[in-house]
Amino acid sequence: MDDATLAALSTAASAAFDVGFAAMVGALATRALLNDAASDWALRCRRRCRRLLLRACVLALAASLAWMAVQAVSLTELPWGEALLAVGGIVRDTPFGRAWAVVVLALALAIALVVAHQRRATPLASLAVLAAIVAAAHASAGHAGANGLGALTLVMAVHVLATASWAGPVFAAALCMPRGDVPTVDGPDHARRLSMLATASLAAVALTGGASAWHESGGTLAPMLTSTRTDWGVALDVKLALVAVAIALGGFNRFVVMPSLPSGWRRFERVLRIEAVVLLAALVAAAVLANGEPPVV
Amino acid sequence: MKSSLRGALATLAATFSPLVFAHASLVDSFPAKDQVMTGSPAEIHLTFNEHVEARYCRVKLVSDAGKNFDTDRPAADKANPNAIVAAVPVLKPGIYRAHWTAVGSDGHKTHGDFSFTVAK
Repeated sequence: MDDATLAALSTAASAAFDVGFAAMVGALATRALLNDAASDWALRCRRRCRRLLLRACVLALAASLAWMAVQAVSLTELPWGEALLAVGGIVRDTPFGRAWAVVVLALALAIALVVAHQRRATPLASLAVLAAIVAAAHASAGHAGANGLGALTLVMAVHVLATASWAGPVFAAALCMPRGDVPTVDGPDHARRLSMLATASLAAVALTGGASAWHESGGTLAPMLTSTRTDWGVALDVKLALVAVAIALGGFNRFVVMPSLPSGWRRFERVLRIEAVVLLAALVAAAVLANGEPPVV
Repeated sequence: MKSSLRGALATLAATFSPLVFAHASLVDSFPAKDQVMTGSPAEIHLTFNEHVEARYCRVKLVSDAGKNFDTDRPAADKANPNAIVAAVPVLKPGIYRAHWTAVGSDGHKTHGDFSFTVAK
């Protein structure tokens, strides 16, 4: 299999992991935000969140396993069967291999917990700890963790978690809120909490992203200033545009639609669903960027 | 005005894409790019901007006539975790292109190449 195909598969697996992890965090956060709500709408929403949580964990785990299989073929340049036998060596010998193993174990444990609590209260605190472990391991697999588990790894872990808690609740809202219902009791309250979570997460994404980018780039943004004519530069511009649209949609819902709730609920839902699609595309663009090669300056 | 707008957009992009800088890139090599050598080099030494996983890096040499030359599997430079060393066979005079593949600490592969000349 040629390098371009392997790179495309690796990007697809990374994107699927990012979406799955965001949905996992989103389902957890939405479940927690609705914990005290007792309306029929809230109960149905919580049930759907539980199903989304399981599916999201399975997607993230499957994507992680697929990513490592592709990595094994790419790194060893062996056929699939032989390459898979080399996974143990990659886990033993490389920091990203060890971090991957932690991610896989934490996700498997999360799935086991959700399945074991199908008929009982979802163990939100335990699952939140596992999500934090996944974020930290994911961050340590990158360059932030190259020199050990220092402050930069912590910053990147917060960035990963904040990105998921910005996009994830939007995914969960789009997928779990029962369509057609106008939740006059719990809806406006949930919308307000969702908006506060998104604002706080966005601020954390910007702060940690800015600090980490400055450190990683050595204080220069040269690759981004000179990259307009490369495929990588186009992907960067597309991602930036998607992020800007998502922020604008969130702001529109917050400042224009929310004051009219509950009567404007259907409009609120429609904007949320569009925002979910835009954020999904932004996560895919992020995976393309992270797996691509920035232009050499 | 245009450059300051581009700078502002780059800052915003960096804020939302902090990992995009994170790739191994070549910062130094022996032989150097376009260097003319008086004899065959015994090894190719590549230094990157970050730690690389030597076990999964590759170096291939191709002559100007299109002939491939096997190099040994690169080894880590014990003095520098960002560098790898690959022994090469004795090369006849000619122009050679070294194709390298590096694997960074996050598992991402990067590629590059450069030419050097072995003079008569």
